Amino acid sequence: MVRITDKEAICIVVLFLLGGSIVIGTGIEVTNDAWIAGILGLVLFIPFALMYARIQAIYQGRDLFQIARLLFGKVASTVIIAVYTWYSFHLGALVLRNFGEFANITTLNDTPLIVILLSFSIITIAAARSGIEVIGRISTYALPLVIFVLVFMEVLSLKQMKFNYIKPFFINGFQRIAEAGFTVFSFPFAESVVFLGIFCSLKKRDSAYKVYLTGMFISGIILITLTFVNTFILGPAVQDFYFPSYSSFGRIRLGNFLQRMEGTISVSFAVTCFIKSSVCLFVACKGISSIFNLSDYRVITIQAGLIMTYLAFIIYDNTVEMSDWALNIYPYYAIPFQIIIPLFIWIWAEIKNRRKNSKESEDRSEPREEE
Amino acid sequence: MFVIVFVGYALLGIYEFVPLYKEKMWKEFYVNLGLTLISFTVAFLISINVKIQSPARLFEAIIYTLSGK
Repeated sequence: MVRITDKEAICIVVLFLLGGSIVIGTGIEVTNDAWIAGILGLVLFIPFALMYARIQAIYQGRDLFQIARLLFGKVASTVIIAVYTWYSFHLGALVLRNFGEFANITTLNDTPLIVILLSFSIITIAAARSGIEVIGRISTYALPLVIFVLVFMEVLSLKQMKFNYIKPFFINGFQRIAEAGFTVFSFPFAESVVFLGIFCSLKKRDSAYKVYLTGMFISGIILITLTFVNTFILGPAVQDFYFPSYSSFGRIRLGNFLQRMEGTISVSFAVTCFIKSSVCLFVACKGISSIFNLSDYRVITIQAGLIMTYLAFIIYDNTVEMSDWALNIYPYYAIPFQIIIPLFIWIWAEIKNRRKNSKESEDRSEPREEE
Repeated sequence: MFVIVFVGYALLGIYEFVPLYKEKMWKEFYVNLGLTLISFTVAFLISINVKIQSPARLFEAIIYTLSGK
């Protein structure tokens, strides 16, 4: 089996969690309280990260699809595998569409959306076909670049920041902030449930805890910092922008020397969306190959990638619909995939694990009693 | 536009199916064939500007029904 190091896995998780969310922004519906929503979403995710890691630790070396086969009957496990295959597939399509829409609106105005999506999906398919080891290695090189670009842009935009935009605190009321916190929880943090299809490649039993928690904290810090920057630069108008980070960094002016730096941030958007869609396609292909019991998932990557691209093309009619779906529909749509089914799998895995352990200890104690 | 789709899928077919056929990997061959048929159908419909219903609407309707909004 192909193995990835903890460092590679952490890099994949960070880039995955940043993909899409740095394009659309998180918690922007509560404007200057978005950072509180970000922290709330992060804190809410901690128990779920531990739960996902626990599932992986109980069945170390097995992916979600193999775990489902072990825990449930043939029919139930096939249903669970199909559900997660769809979720990964759909998530990949949403990410592709986010980036396609971003590129179409900001730079490639006259290029048909399908052309942008197909061009982007070629590298996604290539990465997914190459396997998780290659995605991991790309991530270790890409993450420092992404962080450098973001920090560099944030430092350059210091002059445009108005720190009083952050006040007054809790102006949106606790209920609205809590709802925005739940949105941040489901997009992007709890999307990391798809890693249950990948972390069988981790080398050590407890690596999943380290990877989930470290990845979550690094990406959380980056996202919350970005939320602060967007609020400081755009103020209450932050929710009027479909791509707030792009608009904030577009305001950088350092004399006549450095202007219109928003193009630079597109590099980070492209890299993170590429990693996220590749991971989603990889998991979706593994799911399909698990359903049909195929010897290698690679044989279906091209066609699955193309279907994902077409799904990304037909899924929304316009950017308004995309934004509305991400903020209002997606958090509720994702509940079964991110909360209910993993919770069910975890409880069932714990019960089976305890039964197995008690049976083993009984077997060990029986010969002693005979003696 | 649909000519490009036909040519593209013909080339993809040669690239993907010939090795599977030669190695007699029948299960992989048929699953891939099924996916190719779905993929080709959608690509063809997009190429002739047929509006395909988005699955997002279905989920949206289900969520609105459940939440009673």
